[in-house]
This record gives sequence, C-alpha cells and structure tokens, in this order.
Amino acid sequence: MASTSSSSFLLSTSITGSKFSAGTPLAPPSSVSFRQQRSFSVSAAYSTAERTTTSSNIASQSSLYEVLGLQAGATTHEIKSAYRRLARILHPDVARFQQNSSAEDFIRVQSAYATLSDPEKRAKYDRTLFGNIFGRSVGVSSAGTRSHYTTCRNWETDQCW
Amino acid sequence: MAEQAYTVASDSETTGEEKTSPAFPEIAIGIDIGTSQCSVAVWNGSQVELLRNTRNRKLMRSYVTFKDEVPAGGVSDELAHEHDMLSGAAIFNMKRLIGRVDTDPVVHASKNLPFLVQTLDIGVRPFIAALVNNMWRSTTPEEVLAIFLVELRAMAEVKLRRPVRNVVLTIPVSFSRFQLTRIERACAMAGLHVLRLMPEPTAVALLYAQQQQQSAQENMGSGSEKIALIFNMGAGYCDVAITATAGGVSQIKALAGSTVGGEDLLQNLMRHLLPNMKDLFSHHGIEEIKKMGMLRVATQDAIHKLSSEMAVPVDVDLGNGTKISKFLERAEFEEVNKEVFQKCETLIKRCLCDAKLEAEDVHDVIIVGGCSYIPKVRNIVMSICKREELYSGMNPLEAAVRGAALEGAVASGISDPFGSLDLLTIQATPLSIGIQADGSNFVPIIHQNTTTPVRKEQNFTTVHDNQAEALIFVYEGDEKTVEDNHLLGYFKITGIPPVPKGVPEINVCMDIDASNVLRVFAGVIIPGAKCPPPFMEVRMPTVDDGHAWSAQTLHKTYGSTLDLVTVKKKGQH
Repeated sequence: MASTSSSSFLLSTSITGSKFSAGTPLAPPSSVSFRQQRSFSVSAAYSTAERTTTSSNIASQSSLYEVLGLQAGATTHEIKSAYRRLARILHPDVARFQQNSSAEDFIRVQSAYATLSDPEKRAKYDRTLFGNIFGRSVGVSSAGTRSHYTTCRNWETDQCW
Repeated sequence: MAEQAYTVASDSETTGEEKTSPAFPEIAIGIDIGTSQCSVAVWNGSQVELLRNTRNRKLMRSYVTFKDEVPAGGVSDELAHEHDMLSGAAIFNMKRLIGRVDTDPVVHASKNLPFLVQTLDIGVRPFIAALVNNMWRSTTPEEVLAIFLVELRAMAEVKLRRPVRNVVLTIPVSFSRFQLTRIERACAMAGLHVLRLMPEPTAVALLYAQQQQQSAQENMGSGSEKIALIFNMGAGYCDVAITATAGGVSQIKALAGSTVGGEDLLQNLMRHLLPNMKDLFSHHGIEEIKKMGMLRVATQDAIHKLSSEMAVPVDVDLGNGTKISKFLERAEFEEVNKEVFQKCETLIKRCLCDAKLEAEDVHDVIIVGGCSYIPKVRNIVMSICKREELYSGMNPLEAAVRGAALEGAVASGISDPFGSLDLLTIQATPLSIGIQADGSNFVPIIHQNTTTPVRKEQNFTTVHDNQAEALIFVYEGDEKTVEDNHLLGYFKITGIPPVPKGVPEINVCMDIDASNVLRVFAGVIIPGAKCPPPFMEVRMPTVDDGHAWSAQTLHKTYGSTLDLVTVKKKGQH
C-alpha cells in the first residue's frame, strides 16, 4: 500500500474529487480526523537524490485539474475546497505521522492550486491546455499524453518559433 | 488517564507497518518569549491552558539578573525587576538583540538600556554585559535566553508533573534564519528541543482557525472561507499576517514584519522628555544606570496610563539638578512617535497588497500584543481595514502562546475526539531567499510569501572564460542588493568545465521542508557527461558570528573571479 504509485493515488483522489465537486460544502464532518485518513499512503519513490527526475513524475499528470482531482470547468470554490481537502491529507505536518510520506505530493498540489486559483494564470493555463489537448476529451488522461510542460508555449514563443 | 484518551488514532488502517511515533507522545508546550513578557501554554487534553508561576501569574517578565554566582530569571521573581534594573545587573530585551551584529541599527538603539551594550561597528557580536559587584560580567542574548528558558522549563515541569522537552516557540516575522538558529541554540542550551518556530501572527491565525471551526460546527454552517488580518505589536516587533481559514485549515496568504515596537515608543518618549539623554548616559556608570532605569520606569508608566487617559503628569527626579516635571498629553506622545505609527501603516498596507486583497475582502481584523491597547495603534488598524470594530474573541496578550500550544499538540500527533485539534497551518515564507549574482545583486529563488514546503530552482552561468569554480552566496531578505539582506552562508562548487563564459549551466535549487529547514543544492549540469561533478547539498544557515566580516573578506580576496550571472528564463522545464 505504501508503495502505491502516485498515479493510482491521484486516480483515487479524482474519484472523491468528482464526488465533492457537485457543489458539496467542503467542511468534512467533525468526527473525521486528519490522521484517520492516513490510509492514503502516497509514493515517496522520488527522494531528494532523484530530484532531477521529479519533473517527469509531475508531468505524468496531464493537467493541473487532475492533480486537484477536478474537471476542467471547476469553479473557484471547488478549486479551493479540493486544495484544502488534499492539504489535509498530503501536507507533511499531517502526512509525517505515516511512513513513506513526501513533501512532493503537497508541493505538486500547491503548485496546481497556485496556478488555478489565480484568474490570470488560470486563463493562460487554460488556453495552453485546451490548445494542446484539442480534440481530446478534457479531464481524461491517457498514458501517452505528452507533458504539457514540453508542449506548452505562450503566445510570444509561438510567434517566434 | 487523561493522556490515554488523546493518543494518536488507531493504526489499524495501515497495513502492518511499524509506527515511529510512540503510543503516548509527549505534548509539546507552547512558549511565547516576548521582548518584555513571556508565557507558557499547553494542551491539557481538552483545551489550551496557560501555566502560572509560583506567584500565580500567567505573564512573566523576560529578564535575567546576574548576581554573584547564580543568575536568576524573571519567571519566579518578577518584583525584583525594577530594582535590578536600577543596579545594572538585569539584562532584558534579549529578543531584540539576539542574532544581531554591532552594525545593526537595532543594537545601536539599545545602547541606552540600563546595562552595557557596546559596539565597534565591525560586523561582530556586540559586547553586552551586566554590572555585578562593580564589574562588567559579559554575556550574550543566547545565554540570557537560555537561563530564562531553564526557569520556564522547570516551572512547566513542576506544573505538568512530567519532563518537558519539546517546545513550539513563537518568533517575530522579521527574524532572519540566522536569528532562528540563535533561538534554537538557546533552547538547546536549556535542554529543549524545538519542534517548530512559529511566526507570532501565524500562531494567532491557528487559534482563529480553531475558533472559526468550532463556531461553524455549532451553527451547522458550511464553514466557508474567512479571511483575517492579524496585527501583532509587542515591545520589540510588529508583525502582520493575512490568513484564509476554512475547515480548520489556516493558509497564510502574506506576512510582513518589522523591528518596531513598544521599545521604540518608549525610547522616543524618553528622548522627548530628556533631550540630552544620550550625553547624560554615555558613561554607563552606576549613577547613570540608575538614572536611566528611573527614567525608563517613569516613561513606561506614562505610556500605560496614556492608553486610558488623555494626559498624565510625569515627575521624576534624576538627581544633580536633572528633574522632569511635565504634563504629558496623548497627542504629544502620538506626535513624538509619528514615524513608528507610519511604519505600522506601511506594514499593513504592504501585507494586504502582497495578499492581493482589498480591505473589504477581510472578514475579521485581529489585533494582539502589548501595544494593542494603545488607542492610536487601534485607530490605525481600524482605519486602514475600514471598519468600526475589531475581532473580540481573543485575549491580546495570550493569543500567540495559545496558538503555539495548539501547534504543539497538533505537531506532537495528538488528536481530539471533538475535532478541536483537526487543525493545519499552511505556512508561507516571510522573506525571500536567493543568491548573489549579476554583480552584487540579490536574485531571489524562493520569493517572499511562497507557501511552504517548497522547492524552486534557477539556472546561472559563469562570468569568466574557463571559470572552474563558483561561489554560491545565499542571502535572505527583500532588498535589491545583497549588502542590505541577511547572509545565510556560502559554499563553493567546483568542476565547471573549461569553456567560454556564459556556456556552463549552473543549477541552484532551494528547498524548504515542512519543518522550515532550508537546503540549497547547487552544481554544474553537463549534458551527456558519464560522471558529472556531484551536486553540493548544504543545509542553511552555515554562518556563525562575524558573518558581515567574512563576506567582505571573501570579496576582497576573490573579487569577481567566482561570480555568477542569471540565465534568462527559457526552457526551464
């Protein structure tokens, strides 16, 4: 369980994510404590020594929405809720009570949230995302999807190249 | 018995893995070391409780008196403070002095305290000493703090009837990482293990998060996001934080801090009452120290009274014909301290701006700290935040230590059946961290107000042809040039291939983990190389005292030979 790959972890969160995204208020029942949710064992396959390879792991998730377990059209409220829910599971302060936890997962969620919670950055990101996966259904990742990091170009570079 | 009810939740879900945390974890206590006062709190199983000393006081004066052989702190003996202050044997304000070199303006401003603070302006630690039996007994802020912490620890151990080792301490936002290491060292000297150093307003934010969560549960509310602005001004420091709270998660949006506080108000007013103060007190003889102490006590008293009265009489006889007899008005006090209040305004505005929020977006405005009783301070905060009322659910003098105790319980892995500890603080960096490049410019890699844990990297390149080595100077701060920021350390990377300048790709990566430990990785990237030179991984800060010196000496010795320049961002990923 502890060695579950990061992709299967994200699969499970996207299931809960879609359950929550139907306008459900974010506050979980008070009886659910953080540490009871620690069965969410997450991968620590990439240690600091392998840090140069982490970008490819991040890139294996085809969109920032999937990192948060959301559909591409999610509302600001849904994005905030999803971020907070994941923070309560993945933040190292919570996750360190389980073994094999890693800050990487939280950092990935954090960086997705940083982009999607900023209207300007999100709009820019959405343009690149929809541009790249044109003709493909949104929010469904296929294993062979190219990383958006390598395919992402903004308007200026498109003009230059 | 009480402890058994609050152990970590059952391990049954995890599949047979051994847990590292013990079955009965020790609950870390929260300590708020103030410039002037200090308090200790702990999660008692159902709520946060402040510990009282033998005199039944929750707030204790932060000072240490050096007498004969054994120094004594203000934990047990608070009444002696004013007497000791007049004799030059009491050292206080250590939170203002800790981790500062003798070129620091804050150290210079401390020279008219009633003990010895001597500076030589060469970038080493100042000479601080107490007068014991007519002789200067040298000490350091770390030592004073450690003596004080030993007393606090002893008091807590008696009250809790158990050994105390783990602590969560609150610190000012503006503390550099070098200053944090000094606090950790003082704790280590006192036999305490620092679980977390928490910026004061973020501790208040955690308490607020808990209060919001509880009221959301009582009202069966949805627990929607609430934004709070926290303004904390004590004797030594002023901090502002903006937090977004929902469901027990406190996310720090922005932090701002500065070294202004009640001590500045006090000194400005002392200077106003006695304009030739500096000349009168320059010798630090027994008589001068006594006069300084008397003036200090009288001025402090006047400031306290001016919080409730519009004018107070100040009568103090300093001897030798120096006598102050004056009717001091509140408006006069405010005028004398105009600059301090302006600084407070700037901090709040900057924090709102950094959080990308308008005053109208803030739901609650919280004001804490000893200066929160000053009418002018309250007015400033209310007028910038455009409201008539301040949040009233907290004791301004206890909020920070209560938050620290909550963090202590959460970080010790304690859970509460009623969900009172289902809390999480998502911290942000108070200051930017970066390296020296492009001459003496500061190039931030992790920017201010970045959520932690975080990892960021940036590429640099050489400035000279065939440059084989490069020096990585790590700084912290928000000024453009490195001289104006805090040096955290430096190290050399080697093995850069002999190629023209601008060709080698030197990667500098910075990582802050959840415990706020900063690590810097740096090395040269050689594509296709079979065994590339290894990356250096260095835990920061590395510098010890006299660091202002070492940077100058390095610059003198090496010039620009080991310099770096930034690479234009292109194809970072």
